[in-house]
Amino acid sequence: MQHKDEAGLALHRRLLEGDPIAPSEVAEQFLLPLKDYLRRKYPQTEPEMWLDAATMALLNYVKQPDSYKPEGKSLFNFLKMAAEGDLKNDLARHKRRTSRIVSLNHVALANLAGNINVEEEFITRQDVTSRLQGLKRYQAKTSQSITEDEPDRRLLELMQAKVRATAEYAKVLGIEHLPLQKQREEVKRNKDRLSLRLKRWEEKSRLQGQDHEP
Amino acid sequence: MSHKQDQKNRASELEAALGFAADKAARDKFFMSSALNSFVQGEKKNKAELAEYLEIGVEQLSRLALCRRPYSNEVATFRRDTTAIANRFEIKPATLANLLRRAETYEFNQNSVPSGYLMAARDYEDAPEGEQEGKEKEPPNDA
Repeated sequence: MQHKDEAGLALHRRLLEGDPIAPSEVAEQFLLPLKDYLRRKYPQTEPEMWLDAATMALLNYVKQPDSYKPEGKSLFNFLKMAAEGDLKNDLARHKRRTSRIVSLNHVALANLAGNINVEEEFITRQDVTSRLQGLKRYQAKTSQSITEDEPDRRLLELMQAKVRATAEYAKVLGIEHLPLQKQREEVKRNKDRLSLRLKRWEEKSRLQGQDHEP
Repeated sequence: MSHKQDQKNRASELEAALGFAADKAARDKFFMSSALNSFVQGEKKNKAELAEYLEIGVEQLSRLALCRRPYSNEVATFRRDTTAIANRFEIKPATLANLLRRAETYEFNQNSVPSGYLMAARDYEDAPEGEQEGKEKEPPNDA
């Protein structure tokens, strides 16, 4: 990119002078080379992250052009470093988020306090749903349940039928006399407890080589 | 793959990348993209209609969107920036000023106005005929 230094420097000066066209020209000149650089350096990364990081670096630079000191390095090298920094931050954020979801999948089933975001809850619910489906297939095949406890068995049936009404679960638990909020808490506690049992059952059957998966 | 095909692919990759960047920039009032976005949303226009309004090609919109949005309480600065952008994209300056003013009106109505644009845009439009090219009629329903 040595040959572009002069052009880069000219663009940089125009940005400092407040030329309203300069941001667009900087993007036109550097966006793809930056993306290409990230693609080469981080080939394992999700493709949209290259462009995202390149874009963020460019937009930030054109807004704050004085963050670049021309004495140090070429504008392209400066932008490469900025884009790389943005990509690394994105990757770290992504990693933190992923590990949080994984740990929540373990913890939340044991004690779901309800303080997780919708996406995470959705993922957790998907796990439970998939286990319930596995249980259904297992029961159809073996005519066995994972519990001998009658109320638990009926609660599981409601969960399998995707019943969401608190009243239905409250009936089974015999807590209809309690205030609605209490009923909800109690229903949730029992559903979480059964979800955890389901998870353990799934792990146990996997260890024993039992086929409850499709 | 031929060299020509390579160039063509590269050009469309650039267009897509600029489009992506323009969309990102729409959330930031520093960029023209924010004004274009407010305008198309307020006027319920699509990109093709916006390009038609500005009398430019649709492929020019991303580049226009990535320009700095003219900002200033000073009419002269606003006029200078608007004229520079208009000249670069061969848009009538008054059309662009009108777009910026309307965009600002829509933003004002959504309580997110950056101060100064509206006044400068209005003063620009009120300037003597000789100082503007292609002055447009006032839109009927604007503030």
